[in-house]
Amino acid sequence: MEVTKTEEKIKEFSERNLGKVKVLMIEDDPFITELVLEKLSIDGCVPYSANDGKVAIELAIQYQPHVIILDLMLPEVSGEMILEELKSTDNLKQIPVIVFSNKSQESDIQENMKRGAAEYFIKSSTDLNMLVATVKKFAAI
Amino acid sequence: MYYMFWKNKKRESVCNLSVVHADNQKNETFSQENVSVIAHQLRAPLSAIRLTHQLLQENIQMNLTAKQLHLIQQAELCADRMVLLTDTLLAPEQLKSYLTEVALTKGIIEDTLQEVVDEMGARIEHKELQVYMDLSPQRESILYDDVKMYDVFVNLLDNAIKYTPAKGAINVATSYTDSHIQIAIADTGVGIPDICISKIFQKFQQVENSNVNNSEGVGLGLYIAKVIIEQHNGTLQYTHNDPTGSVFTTVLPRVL
Repeated sequence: MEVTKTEEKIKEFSERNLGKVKVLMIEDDPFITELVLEKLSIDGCVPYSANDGKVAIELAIQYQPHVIILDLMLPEVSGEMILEELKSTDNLKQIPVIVFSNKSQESDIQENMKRGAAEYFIKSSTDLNMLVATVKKFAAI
Repeated sequence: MYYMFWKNKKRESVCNLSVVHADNQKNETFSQENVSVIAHQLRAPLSAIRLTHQLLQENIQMNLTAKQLHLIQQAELCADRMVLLTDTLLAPEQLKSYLTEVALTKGIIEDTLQEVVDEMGARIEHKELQVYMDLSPQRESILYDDVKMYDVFVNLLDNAIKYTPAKGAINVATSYTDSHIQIAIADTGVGIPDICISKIFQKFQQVENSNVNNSEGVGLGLYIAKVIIEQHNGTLQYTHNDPTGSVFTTVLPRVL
């Protein structure tokens, strides 16, 4: 019964947002999440978010976002581990992942690009317009 | 419209900062490691502040007045300055290698000066400043790191523009001796009080002046300029301009 309800919700979500760029943001700072989701929403995307790795993977499987924005410093499961799981899961590995973190060492950037990140943004220097343009470039729908 | 699938969670960054502070009081030394930790912790709220400013500046649905938008832009400049400061604190090694590695190529210093003045044209025009290019016709090719000397001149000219009132004047001059080339950038600005002169080439120093908005820098420009010039075996000196303003004089050897 629960499964049916979930499937119905997903179907309704997909139909309502047909043709729009779906973006999953995995971030544990509520205010930063609100700001980025608001911007994505203003620019015509359909953003949704999770602050926990396990929930994020489930949401990614269910709602199949066009792009994922991923923080690295997360509680319990790190962003690096989430990125590795995303890139080793059949239904998810094709989704471009934009890392959005305040880790700014060159080694952090290189290691996460090697893990399969499509782009890397340092939060404190991020231009929101640039972030959204990158999301839309990777979504390409 | 957006969707948040969240577990409840307390925010912890402020607490983490307190722990670091307590540790430092015990040790009474501020190690680079702790500076890095604090700089890193500052980045989280700083990111939120910058993103907020950007969203507000979109001004969609918010109907902000021109004055409110201006205040947000000023706040954004302050936040940008803090980003620069945290970047510098987090990457002291990068700054060190930037300052110590000099790539020398042959070039004409007057060409570099002209490029810098051209790049700053919009700001010069905005303040209606007169810039006089009193460049020597000798224009000899010398060995220098053109990228870094470009940064030096940007810093010096940036100060001249910032500290010179609207409709003032800046003079950029070069001259040659047998062994050296001298580059003087003079302005008719507010000048530097005698009491501050000994500190202007130190790290993180800014001359406080009530007539000037200091929010655009972190007090590293003159320090960086002096170190780079010394890497070229040159000197950078400050003197008062007559009757008012500053003169920064760079002397570089014609042959290293």
